[in-house]
Amino acid sequence: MIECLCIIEKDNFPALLRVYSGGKDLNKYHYMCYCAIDIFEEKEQAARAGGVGKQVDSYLGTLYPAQEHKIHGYITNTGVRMVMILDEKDGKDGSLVKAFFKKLHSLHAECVSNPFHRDGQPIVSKKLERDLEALVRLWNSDAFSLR
Amino acid sequence: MSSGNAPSKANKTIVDRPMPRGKAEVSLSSFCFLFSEIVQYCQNRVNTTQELEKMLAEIGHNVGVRMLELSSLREKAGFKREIKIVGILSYIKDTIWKVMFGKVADSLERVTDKEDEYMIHEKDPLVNTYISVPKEYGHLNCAAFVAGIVQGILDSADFPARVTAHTVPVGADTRTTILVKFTPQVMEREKRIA
Repeated sequence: MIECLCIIEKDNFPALLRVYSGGKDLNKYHYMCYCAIDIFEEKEQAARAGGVGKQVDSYLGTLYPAQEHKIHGYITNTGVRMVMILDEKDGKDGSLVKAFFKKLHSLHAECVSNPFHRDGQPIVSKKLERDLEALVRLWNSDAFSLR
Repeated sequence: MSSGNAPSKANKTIVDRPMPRGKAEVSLSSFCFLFSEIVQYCQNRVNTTQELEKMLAEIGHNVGVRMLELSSLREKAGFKREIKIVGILSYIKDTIWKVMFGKVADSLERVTDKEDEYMIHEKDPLVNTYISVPKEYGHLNCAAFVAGIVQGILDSADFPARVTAHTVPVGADTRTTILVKFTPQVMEREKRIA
């Protein structure tokens, strides 16, 4: 079950933060995403220290250990970071998580292509809401596949 | 024959080379990027949704006028000038749509009670691919650009009409309809020909 999705744009601005656990403990998820930013910076530092030739994989895997939750991170080549928080009972494969992030990335790209999108403001887009809801439903019903 | 001639200077300068045929297609991303910039350009210069649609329609009008000339020139089988309403609308729905969007429009129908109103239906206009209109803009449909193109074509084909784009809810989804309303002179002329 997906509990939270977060897209963090440049200057660590949370463009999108959706909580799917029924609205309780909203602050907890904000806090977890905030902590995730530290891990992102750490990984970026490591990539930069490793020299120009080192390729950074977009999917960063599990970010940090947390009880009751699994936190996955993804960074795009434009520096947009995405966080996905699953509950611990979700045992989906890493490749599925990666595919999910890729889909989320393409939804974000479509969102930014909207002429009515304002940079530096929270994302408001009916199309994104629709597509995101469908995607989350697909994931939660275990129907999400690598296609 | 040409062996005794001095080496020709042809194909040395760019104006001597034969003109390239050019690709018939442009990538969707480039077009949507350009269209997105057009919408933002108009947004910065207007105050209301109606004005935004009007501005997009004006830009579309200029495109439509040139579109008719160009596509009638490129028609292989010899372009026969359309003089009937159904003729010109079918030409727009099939040929022009195919040239612009790579597919024909979904359907063309006449409004049941009115004989001067026709509708071109399109489920998802190509121009709206990445566009999601925020709530403040109400019923804005950027297919007003496409409506402008149709109006430009009709105006230069001598079928003056008022063309507008509307979002029509169909079940849970929405569909775009281009409504064409011809002027009385066109209707009268149509009656005389028929």
